[in-house]
Formats: sequence, C-alpha cells, structure tokens
Amino acid sequence: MDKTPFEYIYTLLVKDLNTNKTVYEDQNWNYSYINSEDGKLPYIVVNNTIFKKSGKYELIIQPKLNFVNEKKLSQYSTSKIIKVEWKKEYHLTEILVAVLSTTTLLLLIGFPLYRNWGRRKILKEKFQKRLAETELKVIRSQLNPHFLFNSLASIQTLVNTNEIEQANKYISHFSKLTRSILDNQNYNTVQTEINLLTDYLEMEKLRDIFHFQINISENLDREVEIPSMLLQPLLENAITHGLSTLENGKILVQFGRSNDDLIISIEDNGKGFDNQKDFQGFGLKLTKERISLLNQIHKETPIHITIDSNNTGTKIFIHFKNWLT
Amino acid sequence: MIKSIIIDDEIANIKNLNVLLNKYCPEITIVNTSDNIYDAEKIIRADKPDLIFLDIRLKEKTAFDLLPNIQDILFEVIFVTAYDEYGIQAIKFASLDYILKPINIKELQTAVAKAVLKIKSNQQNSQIQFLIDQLQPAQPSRKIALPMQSEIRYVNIDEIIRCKADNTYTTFHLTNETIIISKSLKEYTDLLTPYGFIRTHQSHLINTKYIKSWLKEDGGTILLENGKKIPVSRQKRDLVKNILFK
Repeated sequence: MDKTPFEYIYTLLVKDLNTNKTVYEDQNWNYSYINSEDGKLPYIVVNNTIFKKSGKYELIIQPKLNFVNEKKLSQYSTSKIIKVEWKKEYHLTEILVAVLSTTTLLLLIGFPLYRNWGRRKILKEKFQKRLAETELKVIRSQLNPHFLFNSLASIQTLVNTNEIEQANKYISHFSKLTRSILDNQNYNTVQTEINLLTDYLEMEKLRDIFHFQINISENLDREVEIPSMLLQPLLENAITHGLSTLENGKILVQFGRSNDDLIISIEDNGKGFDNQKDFQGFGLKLTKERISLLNQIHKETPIHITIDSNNTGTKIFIHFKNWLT
Repeated sequence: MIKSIIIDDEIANIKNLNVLLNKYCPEITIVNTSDNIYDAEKIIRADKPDLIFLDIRLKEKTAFDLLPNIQDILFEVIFVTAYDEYGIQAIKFASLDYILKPINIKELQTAVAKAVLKIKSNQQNSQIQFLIDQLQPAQPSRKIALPMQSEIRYVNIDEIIRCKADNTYTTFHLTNETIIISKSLKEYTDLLTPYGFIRTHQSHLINTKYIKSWLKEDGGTILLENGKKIPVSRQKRDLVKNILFK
C-alpha cells in the first residue's frame, strides 16, 4: 500500500466474499512503528468477531470520496483477499446430537445385521441340537441283536420244556422291552425306567443266574423324566463282562437325589475291568457317547459318569447336575 | 446211532436243543453236554463223539478258542449262534454248517442230515482244520472251501475268474478248471464281494482282477482277459461302471 502524503481519508472495508456483503467499515487509523525501517505506518485494529464464518474475505482500502467515479476510485484503492478459518468448537448439545445420530445410524444399519448374525447363531445351535438328537435316536434304536435273539431262544426253551406259565411271563417281559425300544421315546419317567430295567434284568436272568435289586430314594419323585434306556447297556455290560462267570452275582441299582442333582448308581460284584484300557465294552462306549450328546443338548444340566472298577466289582455313578430344578 | 455232544454256555439252550433233537432227529444220541470250553475239551477226548453242536460264543471264550486245542478232529461240527458274529464269515468260507437261535426245526433237520451223511461216508473232516488255519491272524491268501460231490476243494480266491448261476448250482470258472457246486450264487456273492468280485448280472459274478475292458455293445458288456464276454444287466450298469471307472 502506498503511503499517502496527503490527508486523504481512507476507509477500510471488509467484504465477505461468500455473501458479497460489507461486514465492516472503519476509518480510525492509528500510526505506529510496525516495521522500523519503513517508519510509522497507519493501521486499523479489527476485532476478529467480524469474521463470523470460515471463508474468504476481501479487505479493501479505498478513499472515502463520494464524488469520484468508480474507475478513479479503484485507481487509488488497494485490496487483499484473506482466508479465515474458524476451528469449530463443539458444544455439549452438538456433541449429544452427533452421538445420538451416529448411534441411530449404527442401530439402523447394524441391528438387522446383528439380528441376522444372531439368528444364524441360533440356527446353527438348533441344527447342532437336532444333529445330536438324531444321533441319539440312532444310538438308542440299536437294540443288541444278541440280546434279542438270545431272549427268543430262552423263550423257545421254556416252550419246548413245557413251562407254559414261565413262557408267558417272559414273552410279556420281552414284548414290553421291544415295545419301548420301538417307541423310541427320548425320555421316560423314573418309574417307567425302573419297570423296563426290571423287564430287562428278568430276561437276562433267564440266561444267567444272578440277583438284582433296584432302589429309589423316598425324596426322589418317581415322575421325574430321565433319558430312556440309558442304564440298560451298563447293566448288560455288568452281566456279560462282570457277572457271567460268577456263582453269586449281584447287581444293585439306586436312584437318589443330592440337592438338585439326580444320582443313579449301578454296582456289581463281578470281576471288574480295567478302566484305563480302551476296551470297556460296547455298552459303556455307547452310554458315554449318548451322555456327551445329551450334554450338547442340555448344557445347563450336564450329566457326568464316573466308573470305579476293580477285581471285586464295579461301581458306576451317573450324576445329573441340576436335573431336578 | 450218531454219538453227539452239545456245547453251549447256557443250560437252557442245551435243554432246548436236547428236546428238539430227541423229537425231530431220532438218529442223534446226546451222550454228554458242557457249558464251558475246559470241560468241553475233556469230554470230547473222553467220549469221542461223531457230532458236536457247538455254540460260537461261550461266555468270554469262543468256539474258536476250543477247536485248535483238539488234535484229531474226528467229528463233524454244527455251529449254533444267535447272531452273525465274529467267525461266522470264516465258517461260511469253510463251507461248514451253522444254525441260528431260536432254532428252526427244518434247518436243524437239514444240518443234521448233511452231517449224518458225511459221518456215514467216513469222509475225512478237513474243513475244521481249514477253518482253524483261516482264523490265524497272518493269512497270506484268502482261500475258500468248495464242497463238491466227492471232495472238498480249497481254492485260492485269486484263482476264481468268475462264477455263473445254474439254477441252484454255481459253476466256478477257475484259472485252470471248471467246477460245479450245489450252492446258490447269492451265497458266494455275499462271501466274495468284499474280495473284489462284482455281480454284473442275475447269473454272473466276476472277479474284477480278470476284467480286460468295458465294451459298449448291447449297452454294456465286460470283456475278460480270457476273451470271454460277460453281460451286464441294465440295473447293474451304473454299479459296474462306478467300480470300473473310479
């Protein structure tokens, strides 16, 4: 800007280029040493509040002469364009609005995705459950053919030796058992199970000589449902691997409760088996498989089996955690 | 009189068989019985039976634990079992007789009649020894007993090129001869399928080892290495192709 030796009165105009409006006008010039080499320079102090928004502003210094024409005026004027940038300060309300809108957006987009993912997870769990149930069915329907045909052979003996009454009794035991297996029920009440196990043990007693007893605690409800025929393979195991070579074989089955847990135990005085070895009889393997599948379905009521076997007998405990809640 | 013993781990089964034999097989005389392999061994030596009714499962032992302990097998055996179990396949390969529990009276009579015939003709019983050999764990090659009219032929299954059904007979085409056996092709199909044989047709069972090529004529025919063409029936075509082209 040229120095003016004359007593011109210059005016400072600030124009917002965004709106093309003059936002400020001032002619209170001060003189001071801003730059020592250049001597005193005129200046105007402008409060920055005139720049309300970020954007481009034009600073114009022009003579305050109303009579000169536009062309002449621009000849003695100077201008500079400056860029004003406000760093935005956020207020609490603004933050709140921003947070709320972002959350809403996330919810709008995310929830269906989340729900879909959740649904898929449920579907997957459902599928696994169904798979486990199917496997269970397959295992349960595996009626030991040895038992089946040997039972019929035992009945044939009764018929051929004219023990008609006995033959009738065993045909009845046998049909109750086969009916239950064909029905393929997932669960039976404790009472039904006890009846079936009795039918089963009676059939086995036709072939092997042993004693058996089934007890139930008074504090256990006989109507409680338990997985059907879970104990049968274990009893079969006890008879064929434990008692078969014994003179006075005994089997004791007990149904009891401890707080909310159902506890079933099977004890025999057979010669036992090595628990560490892999071969534990087909029946035990089958039961363990079934329990692991049941545990996949009922995660909140896990079933645990423990086996304690030595050469004087075998004790099997099946612990149904929280089964009675 | 056919001197016989019954070996079964269940007294009830011994009783039952005894009753049935008395009633339906009068030529059989039961001289002794046993419910375990230890006593069984003793009574076989002492009584020298002509025929043994032998249950396969004997408590924790089996009939196959008993047989190798007997030096001179001068008797016939009818195996008795409740269900297809360990060893039944070997019994079939040895072409020995077995009956199922509960006992069917007709089957019992047929098995007894065959045994009596063998006993009366004084044939040497090589089948039991064959069975014992076959049950040894290290078997170099699978053999099968083929009962002919006058002898039992033990044939390596690799030597069987094909079998052809002729009514109730089966003709075995071996690498160097042809023999006729009075058993159905179905029986041999069941036995030999696990050893690389395929039933290509109602009346043909062939050893895949001897197949040369698949001919497209008549919708599918098999050419054997010896130049013989074997028909493939419509419903077996996919099965045969699957096996050949996999």
